[in-house]
Amino acid sequence: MLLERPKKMLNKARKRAQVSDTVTWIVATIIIIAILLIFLYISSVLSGENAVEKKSSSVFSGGNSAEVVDWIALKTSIAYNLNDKNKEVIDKWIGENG
Amino acid sequence: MDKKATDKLISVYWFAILILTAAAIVYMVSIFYSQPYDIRELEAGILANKIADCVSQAGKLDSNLIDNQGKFNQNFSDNLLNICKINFNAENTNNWKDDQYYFSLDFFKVDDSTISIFNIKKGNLNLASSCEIQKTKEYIKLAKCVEKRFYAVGNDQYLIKILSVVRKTEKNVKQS
Repeated sequence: MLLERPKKMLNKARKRAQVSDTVTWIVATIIIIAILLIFLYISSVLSGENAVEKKSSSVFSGGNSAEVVDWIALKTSIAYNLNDKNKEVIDKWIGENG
Repeated sequence: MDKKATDKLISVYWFAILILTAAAIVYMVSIFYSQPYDIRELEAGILANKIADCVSQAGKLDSNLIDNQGKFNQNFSDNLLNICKINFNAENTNNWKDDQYYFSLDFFKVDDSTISIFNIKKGNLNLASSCEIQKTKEYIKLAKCVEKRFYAVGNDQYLIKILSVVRKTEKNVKQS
């Protein structure tokens, strides 16, 4: 009879430890799943933006410079070397294109 | 529960988490790379550049396009595709019948940039409506339009507007 009390107490303590262990694992699982869902969401959002940036109209200016210039704008500036009358009107018209 | 049983349970749990994580990574990679790259705007830009190169070299309008009296050559217009070495051949997919491209070329005088003095249109004319619709809002499934403007010198000053359009929606936009 005297030994039964400590045994009961030990069982109770074991049960409590088991419950806290289980809760820890459940919380850890929820966190892992939440992180996975966040990554899934991010990758699905990023996958929708697969449009390739438009840099085709640009050409390298030459030399070591990585600077790019607009191919069509280059044509206009070459034409200005031949005749730059009405430059403002022409620039305004070209600018209307945005 | 004894220690051996707990260890077994935990290893099963770890395997389950490992499989879940691996599956999620595979899924993420597949949804990211299954989206096609939309290169229609680039393609339309390249087409416009090619046309611009063909009609104007070194700032001057091509001598075959316009004569000394300022008259545009209709023959140049009719054979533009051959002269510029452009073809509208598209990949043999999705029942495309080489009708995926369109471009228009307008010439204006500097003193009146509203009325086109000469115009060349080639390709599938139906695609031009996509540009009108998308003036205010862009729709991903419609054809992509690129408008380019530049200036060139002939016997007079000319403003040139190129509108190039590429459809190819099936290959560039994910079909849902």
